[in-house]
Parts: sequence; structure tokens; C-alpha cells
Amino acid sequence: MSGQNRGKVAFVGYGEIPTGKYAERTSVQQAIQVALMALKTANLPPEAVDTIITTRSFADEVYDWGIGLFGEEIGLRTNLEFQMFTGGASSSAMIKVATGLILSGQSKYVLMVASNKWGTMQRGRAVDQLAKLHHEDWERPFGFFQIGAVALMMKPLFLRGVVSPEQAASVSVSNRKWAAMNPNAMYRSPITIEDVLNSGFVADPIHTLESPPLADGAAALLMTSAENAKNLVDQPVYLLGAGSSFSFSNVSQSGQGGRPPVGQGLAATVAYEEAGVGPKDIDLASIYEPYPLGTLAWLVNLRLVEGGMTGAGQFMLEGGGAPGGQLPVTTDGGMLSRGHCAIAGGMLFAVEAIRQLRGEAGERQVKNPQIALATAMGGVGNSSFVEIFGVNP
Amino acid sequence: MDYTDKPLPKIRPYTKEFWEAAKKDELLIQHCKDCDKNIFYPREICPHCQSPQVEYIKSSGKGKLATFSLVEKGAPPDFQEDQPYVICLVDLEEGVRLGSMLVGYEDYTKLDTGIDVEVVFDPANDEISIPKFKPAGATWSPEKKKQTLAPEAEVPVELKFENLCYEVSDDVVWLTIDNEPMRNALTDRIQQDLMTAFQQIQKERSIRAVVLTGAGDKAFSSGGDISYFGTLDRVGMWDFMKNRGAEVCRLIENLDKPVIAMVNGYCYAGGLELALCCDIIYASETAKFGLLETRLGVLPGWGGTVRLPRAIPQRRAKEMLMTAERIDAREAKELGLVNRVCPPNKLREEVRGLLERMKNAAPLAIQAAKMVINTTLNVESFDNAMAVERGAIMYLNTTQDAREGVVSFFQKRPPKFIGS
Repeated sequence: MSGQNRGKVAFVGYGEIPTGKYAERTSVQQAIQVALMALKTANLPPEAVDTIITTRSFADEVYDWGIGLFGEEIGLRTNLEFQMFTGGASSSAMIKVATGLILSGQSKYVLMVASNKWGTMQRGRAVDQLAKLHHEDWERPFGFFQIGAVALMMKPLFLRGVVSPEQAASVSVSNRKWAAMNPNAMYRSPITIEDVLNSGFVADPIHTLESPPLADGAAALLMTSAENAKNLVDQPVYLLGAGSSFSFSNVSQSGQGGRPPVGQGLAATVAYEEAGVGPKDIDLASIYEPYPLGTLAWLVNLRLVEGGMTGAGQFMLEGGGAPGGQLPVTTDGGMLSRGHCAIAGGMLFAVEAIRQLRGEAGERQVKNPQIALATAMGGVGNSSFVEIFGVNP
Repeated sequence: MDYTDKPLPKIRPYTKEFWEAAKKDELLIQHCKDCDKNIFYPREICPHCQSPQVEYIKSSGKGKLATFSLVEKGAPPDFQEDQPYVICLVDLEEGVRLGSMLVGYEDYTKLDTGIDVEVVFDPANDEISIPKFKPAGATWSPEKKKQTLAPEAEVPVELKFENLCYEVSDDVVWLTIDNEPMRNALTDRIQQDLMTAFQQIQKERSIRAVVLTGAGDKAFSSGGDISYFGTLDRVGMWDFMKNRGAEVCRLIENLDKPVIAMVNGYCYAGGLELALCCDIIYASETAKFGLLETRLGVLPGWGGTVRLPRAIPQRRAKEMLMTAERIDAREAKELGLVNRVCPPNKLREEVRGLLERMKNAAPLAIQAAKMVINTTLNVESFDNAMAVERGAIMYLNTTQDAREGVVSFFQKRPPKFIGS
């Protein structure tokens, strides 16, 4: 059984630029580049765009792009232009909203853009921006921050031997193998499990090579109705299902501490139901994972592996998600190797899934995928999103 | 933990009670009168039933460690200096979970979830004490707060000067030697007053610079009052030579603020010796400079014989001493003895301009620059001198003003320095 929205909207264009440290690119310039790429891949003239959704720019030069700066710089006047934010999952929230706008007939062509400058921002400021997402009364004064909060959730898994350090490290290694084949990735030279375990703790149990390098980057998506999509491109990528769940803000309120985020499972269930598919149908999983345990938790909650966190760890350790494995996982190298470019970094998971389904992933192209899945997370699992894409509606 | 530069919780109407109790080492949690559930963190409404009937109740402060993590690197900028530290979640006996820091543990590797912990309070300031947790029974006491030494002295410790004028304007002290009939000669009282003035200035953090000048338009200072010569016994002479003018010179050189000599006329003997200790000299076109003591059959005694050959070429210094020569402002400028020469009526304006330009530099950086230059000029080894410089940079790097300097640079705006 599938939901009424299955296959009704489609992605016709996407844009991505190399991720890394590019001081010479401003956030708006990056956004323009990816937007033009998205329009080009969609064969759509810019003036056809009637809705622009952007988000916070996380950059030194123009922090929040004011109101409509991007639209003005690219030279578009549209019916609707606004910003959305739910951390790294902002792009997934955009997809939900865009779907609603298109299906209700309010928008025809929705351009979604994210562009961030964490790679070349003034040292410490990116970390500071992330820290400021934590509660100013009950988290920040206690030295809490993003990686620390994730570490708190994950530490008991290691204490109880649910996940071994090698299993966690294998996620970074697997991602790097994919990144080696991604010309846009920030880090591409191979690493070993020993490299990861010898890289020192950022916050126990998370090693340096298990935390994402902050990067500059941008991404764009262009969505329209399935009807319009067919007239524009040879291979539209249809949105089959999208699920989401919000569960907490403060890590003390997450109800976690060694348990994979609950919200992920709820989002997955909704997405599968709407798409009318199950875990067995998934040909590749583009998993939002600033930290290896994020990947493992997603694999469990998406029901893509068996045996809980231990099973997920073993799956990755045995190369199950790496090139040549049973299920390609995070085929662009993900946050850990491609680089964490804030909200753009989140959008890139959807971009990768769409690119793979269009057969445009070059050296790392997965053979003939029909259904792909992408995830996103806002904060440290505060918001969870799952999207399922297909080559057929 | 030093909370000076850290984010602190804001006291809000509905959290006032919590922080007041914390100040008295009591941990409060909230309780909903409607649904009878306990709540943490404090809110205006119950997150379980949205009732506004929430009240504070006392917690035992005892609980179990739910999870923890040693933060080794990657902490936010405000906590970088405190690494490594341990953050944790604690399940209180009352059934609520809170985020905090773990302190007072002996061996991190032996910590485990589920161990008994109890609350302790780390005073951050007069209003806020941060609740933290320690393993039950462990001993822990808050780190003594780091403080700036020499707290802001209340200005005049009743500064009463004779023939010395002490004026403060735009955080700058203007010290004027006021003994015009004697061409601003330095009497014993003036020398003592200068000592008192510089000692006081050293204590006042708000003062950023000093301008030293002479009253009237004839003289900066004609030097020590030579009428004492012949009236002092050996002990008096020792004090006159070491514990008056020479001490003023030492105080000027050691002062943590720049001292500018505004030379408005004769700058002879002891007057020049004071000027030689100043960091910057601005002179009027009518100024004249000389160490004339050799005419009296003696030598400059406050360091003139020593400092002049370090300020201008040594043979020119010898020539000046050996002929008791006076040189004019133009030559003083050529020799590098003075920084700038201008018409007498422009002198004050020029000095004000200099003081304004000094606002471009951070006060602590100015202070360190003076210390490093004065110290390293007397260091024979270049490597040793570099080590002094390096030490100063390491110190400056940790200051708030260094952070502001970098931030403002990237934000393309003028820096706002606070001297901290």
C-alpha cells in the first residue's frame, strides 16, 4: 500500500560544487553556481522558477542573506521566496514544503538552494555557531556542544560493548572509499581503521576521523510535478515517500543515552509506507552521518540491517556498505569525507541519491539503481527525515 | 572553572528561584501541581500536560550517572582552555534527567554509567552557581576564581601635588611640571610628586597613556634643582641620586602604559634624562636638548650618560657631553632623538593626534610592546630577545582583545578593545 503523494512530484535538476576550503567563493556566489547547474540539468529557463526556498547561509560575509538576497543576486523575481531552517535537515523540510506547494497547485517549479561557508569561516566561529544551537541556559553554560552531545548519546554503547571501536571506525573507512571516487569530495586519500583509532578523541568515544571536516559547499534541487517533469528531462527522479519526526532539542530530553534516536524509526516508517516499498527494495542509502554511529543508528532504524547496533557495526566492518558491498551506503563519501558544509551538506545526500538514480555518478555509479533513499538530521537527531526516490513514479 | 569569558545562564522571571537556590547550594527541580510529574529543565508550563501550575521543589541532589564524555578537543571557543573536561547526563532520584559536568572523579577510565553521583555547586559569579556532579563521596571544591591583580584603584588616593599638575582627559593623564620661574627645574618635592604620580598611574587600569610636559612656553624642564648641590650630606646625596629622579626614570620605563614627552622648550640635564625614558618624544621647534652637567664638573646622574648614547649615535652623544652642547629640535629630529617636531602652537594638537592613533592598537599589546622593546634592547642574545617576544605573544593570544582584533579584521570594522 502506498500513500496518495507517491510519485506525484519529481526532481528535474540538481547542482553541486566541490566541497572543501574555497575562500574565494562567497556563499551567494556558491548558491548561484549550484542554482544555475540545477536549471541546466533540468533544461529549464530561469524565469520559469516561481518559488525559491533558501536557508541560513552560515558564512562570515553575510550571515543570513537578509531577505531575498539570493533571488536578487541571481536576478529572479518569483511568486514566493523564503528561508527555512531545521539544522542539517533544512533541505528535507524544504522538500516536504515544496511537495505541498506543488501538489496544492500553488507552485510549479521550486528551486531549493543551500550554501554554507564553514570551511573558510574564521576559526572557531563555525564551532561557536554550532554551539549556539544549544540551550543558552541549560546546555551552553555546561560546556555542551554538537559533538559532545552526540558523544553523550553514544558512550554507553561502547561501555556495554554493543558497538566496538573498530566497527564505528569502519564507517569512516567505508565513506572514504566512496569519496575516493567523488571528484567533489574534500578528502579522498584512503584511510585505515588504525588511522581512525589513532586520530585522538574529540570527545570520547568520537575520534577526530569520526567527526566531520567543516567545509564550504552548496547544493541545489529543482522540483516540479511529475507531469511537468516528463516534459523537461529524460529521467525525472520521483519522490516516492517522505517521512519526518521531531522529538527533542536538549540532549537531556532526548530519552536517549545509548539508544539509536527514536525519531529516525518513525520517519522511516512513514516514508516506507508512503512509498509503498520496504527496506529490501532499497538499492542504495544516502545516509546523513556526521558521526559513524549516526550511520549505524540509521541502518538500524531504516531496518536495512539486522541485529541492532551490533549488527549494523558488523555490516559496516565487513564492508557491507562500501563499494562492492551488499548495500551501497553514502556513496559520495558523506559528511566524514566529502565534508560537512552545514545545510548544503544535508541537501547533498538527496543530490547524491538523485544523481545515482539518473545514472550520472561517474566512477562510483551504482549499477542500475531503481530506488534510493536519503536521510537527514537536524541538530543531534532532534529532527529526522527520510526520503525515498525512484526512477519510476 | 573560570566563568569570566563563558556563556552564563540568564536569570529569567521563572528561573530566578532556581538560581537563587543554586547560590545557596540547593538544587531545585520543578513539579506540576496538575499532573503531579516532575520536570527538568525549568519551564513556564508543564511539558507533560501544558499546565501553568508548575512549582519548584527541592531535589536531593543525588542521582545516577546516565552517560558521560571526556571532551578532549573541539569544545566551543569559550571552553577551549578548560579541555579536557567531562560533560554528563544525570538521572536524579526524583526521576528527571539533567545535563551537567562531572567533576571530582579520580580515574576517568574507571567511570561507568549507573554510578551514584551528587550535586556540587561551582560559583560563576555573585548571582550564578553552576550545578555540577561528582561521584558520591568524592571530594571536590571549586577552583579559586582567577582574578586580575591590582584591582581598579579608586582614583585619587588624595593626590596632593605642589608644582605638579595632574589632569585626566580621555583616559590620558597629562602631567605638567609647573615651576616656571625656575624653567621647570625639578625640586625635591616635584621629584617625589612625580614618583607618587607614576606609582598611582601604574595602579589605575583605566588610564591608557601619560603625557609629560612643562608649564609655560619656555621649558620642558631645565633639570634637577642644583641648589641642593653642596647642601646634602653623603646620605642625602645618595637619595638625591638614586631615590628621586633616577627612580622617576625607572618608574616611567617600567610603566605599563606609554609615556609621551611633550617637549615645549628647554630640555636639559635631568629634564632630558626624564625625556630619554619616555616612549615617544614630540617637540616644538623651539625645543633645545642637552646634558649640561659636565659644565658643573659632574655627569648626568639619572642615566643620561648611559641612555643618550643608546638613543643617538655614541660619538655625537660624547661630543654633546664633552662640549656641554645644546642642540636644537631640528637636529634632535635628524638624530632620531625625537619623533616629531612642529610649531609650538601645534604641539598639543599633534600629541592629541598621536593619542587618537594609539586607539588603533590594543592596550595590552601596547603594554607588551613597551615591555618587550625595553627589555630586549638590553639582552645580548638575539635568541633570548626572541624568547621574550614569543612569551608576550603567547600571553596576548589568550586575551579577549586579541579575539576581538581578529574578528573585527574579518568583519572589516574597527576593533573595540577593552584592555582585557
